[in-house]
Amino acid sequence: MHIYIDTDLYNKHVQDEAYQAYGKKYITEEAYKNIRDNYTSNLYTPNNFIRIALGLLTIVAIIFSALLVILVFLSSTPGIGMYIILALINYVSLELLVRNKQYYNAGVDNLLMFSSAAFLLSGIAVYNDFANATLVSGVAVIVFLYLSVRFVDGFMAILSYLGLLVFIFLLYTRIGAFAKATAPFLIMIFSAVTYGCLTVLRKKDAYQLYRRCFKSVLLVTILTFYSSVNYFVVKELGGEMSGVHLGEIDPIPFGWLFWVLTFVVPVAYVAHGVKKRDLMFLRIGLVLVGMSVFTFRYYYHVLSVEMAVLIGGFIMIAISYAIIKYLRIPRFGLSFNRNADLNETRINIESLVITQVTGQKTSATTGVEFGGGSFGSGGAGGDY
Amino acid sequence: MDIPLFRKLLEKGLISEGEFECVEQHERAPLSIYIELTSILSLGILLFTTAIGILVYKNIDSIGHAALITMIAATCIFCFAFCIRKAKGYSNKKVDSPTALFDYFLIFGCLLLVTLVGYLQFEYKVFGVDWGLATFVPMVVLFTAAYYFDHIDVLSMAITNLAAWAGLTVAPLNIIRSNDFQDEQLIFTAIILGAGLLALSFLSSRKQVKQHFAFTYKNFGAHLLFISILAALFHFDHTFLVWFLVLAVIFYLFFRYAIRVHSFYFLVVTLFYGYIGLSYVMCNFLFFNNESTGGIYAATIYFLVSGISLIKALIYYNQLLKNDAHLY
Repeated sequence: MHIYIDTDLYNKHVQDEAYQAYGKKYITEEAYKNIRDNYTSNLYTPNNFIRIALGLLTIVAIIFSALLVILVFLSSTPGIGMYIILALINYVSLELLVRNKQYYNAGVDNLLMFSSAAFLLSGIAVYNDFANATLVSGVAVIVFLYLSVRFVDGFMAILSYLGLLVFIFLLYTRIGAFAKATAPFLIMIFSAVTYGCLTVLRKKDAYQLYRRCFKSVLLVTILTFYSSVNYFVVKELGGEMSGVHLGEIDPIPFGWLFWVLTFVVPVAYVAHGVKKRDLMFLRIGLVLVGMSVFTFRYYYHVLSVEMAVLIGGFIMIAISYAIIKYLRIPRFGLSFNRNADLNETRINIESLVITQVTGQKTSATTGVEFGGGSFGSGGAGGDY
Repeated sequence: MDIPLFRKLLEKGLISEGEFECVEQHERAPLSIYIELTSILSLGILLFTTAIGILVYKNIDSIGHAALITMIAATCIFCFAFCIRKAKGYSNKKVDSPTALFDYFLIFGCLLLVTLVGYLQFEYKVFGVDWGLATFVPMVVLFTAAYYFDHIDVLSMAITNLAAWAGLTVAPLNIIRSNDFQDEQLIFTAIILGAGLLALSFLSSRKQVKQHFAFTYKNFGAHLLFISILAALFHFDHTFLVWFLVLAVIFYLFFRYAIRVHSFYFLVVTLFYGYIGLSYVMCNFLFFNNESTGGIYAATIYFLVSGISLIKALIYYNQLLKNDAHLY
């Protein structure tokens, strides 16, 4: 089904897991190296920095190869044929590169995947004078789904999901006024159903190599579910669809329900995240709580901006401080443990945020002292 | 983490019983929400202080500059006093910060110091009409603080101040936008400063004085040097080939260095700047000689070929360095 060799992908997963365990000092450097040697993988995946550099260079190559093709076509009228040729050039080079060099999330393959799909879709869009969005989104679903299956790519999977969402939305709203009014519920149901299906599929061993794709799409379904109930989105998108400009105080059908859901959904995400120990839900929920507050302030201008910010900031300080104090002893399966998260990623992100300059060594070369109790602090402090 | 996988590894004898238990325990241990809570806390502090800043700004007439300056100074002194009390003392080696709170206080104190000096200068011209002294004083304090308290973030602030003193902006995101690279004197200043920072980096590791600072110096120095040489290349129309040669020499030195110490970071940075310089010179030649469409064709082919070759080169060297590639 996919272009890679199964064992390569599987071994890569093993290596990644082992690297994580090693990063948290659960296993020794020796064990990590042993695992790495026993599960060799031929896939080429550079670190993110190199990945971005390769991606940028790929963009240069894509742009100038496209320019060359356009220059050749300059004499004749560039129709859909030119776009298809461009798409083919990109796709064939992608296929050849991945097959021969085993690029996997190397920046080059990600960009080529995207460009070949983009050329094909813009060809179709140009051919129809941008009039047939339903057709474009329908083709997009198939193209992105194919790419995500073929190259085991999470981002393509996300695009495919979003394409399907747009496709169904466009088809449904064609029905008429009733459909337009109930469109938010359609998106809500669609997100929920996709979420349900993927959580089941994700646990199946047959699809274990696609776990990352499933996870990426799951993350987006959570977001689309929220946006389908967010008051701002519902109102503005609804107004856009019916072509009426709604004022700030104009009511919308089921307005109260959307207001309730705008606030209930993020809180439910946080609660679910805590209960299921799922950081993805927890984090998204926290961000969405903020979004909901913004939504509220957009329509109800209580307090001046600086007073609102002052109070908001104060509440955030108070709540987080209170929880930090409260979690001195772990409760509800939660703890406030600095060392538990003191892994490579966090140090990297933190230092990036602070100065964009980091002196931290990021590779696997840091020596690790195993035993002697030094690893005991890793998430398992002895005081509970 | 994938527990069944680790059980499999255990059965294969690749990890020990203890290691497996450690992984498993992690799954059962309370979920640490350290990042989430500290993020909310930091964001809250940021919002709160911003709001206070706006409120003060709006009511400056009733508060008065003197009162405000006194308050900033008092807070700044408090922060530094806290740090001095907690600090472990100076050492040429790396000194870990005593508490997490220490870092916050130190950075906050340093930021307040810079604000305070700027405020004093803007409102009362304390350091005379020239800005030289107004950037020199905080620079000295920041460098002292960076070395005494051993803090890389403060060192970055100090270097930024040093550049400001020399008339430059080196904040990572503003380095190109905020500097007037048409000014020839500025270009030379930047080249000298860049080279100086590289020398400091070299000295730090050679003399073993705060060796871990070397990367910060080198990073600032390398970017500044490359950008200023590129600026010279673009600016001096008649001698641009000379500057291209200079760039080539620097490129070679950095490239060799990156390969020698296995630094993927400097490898990419060096290739990036080198590529910009080369492309500029190439375009110059291609469009100078024939202004017809031939030039456009040639340039397109040049970028296509060079882009692909660079991808190949980058992957080749990346795989060469792969096993123990690191940042510096």
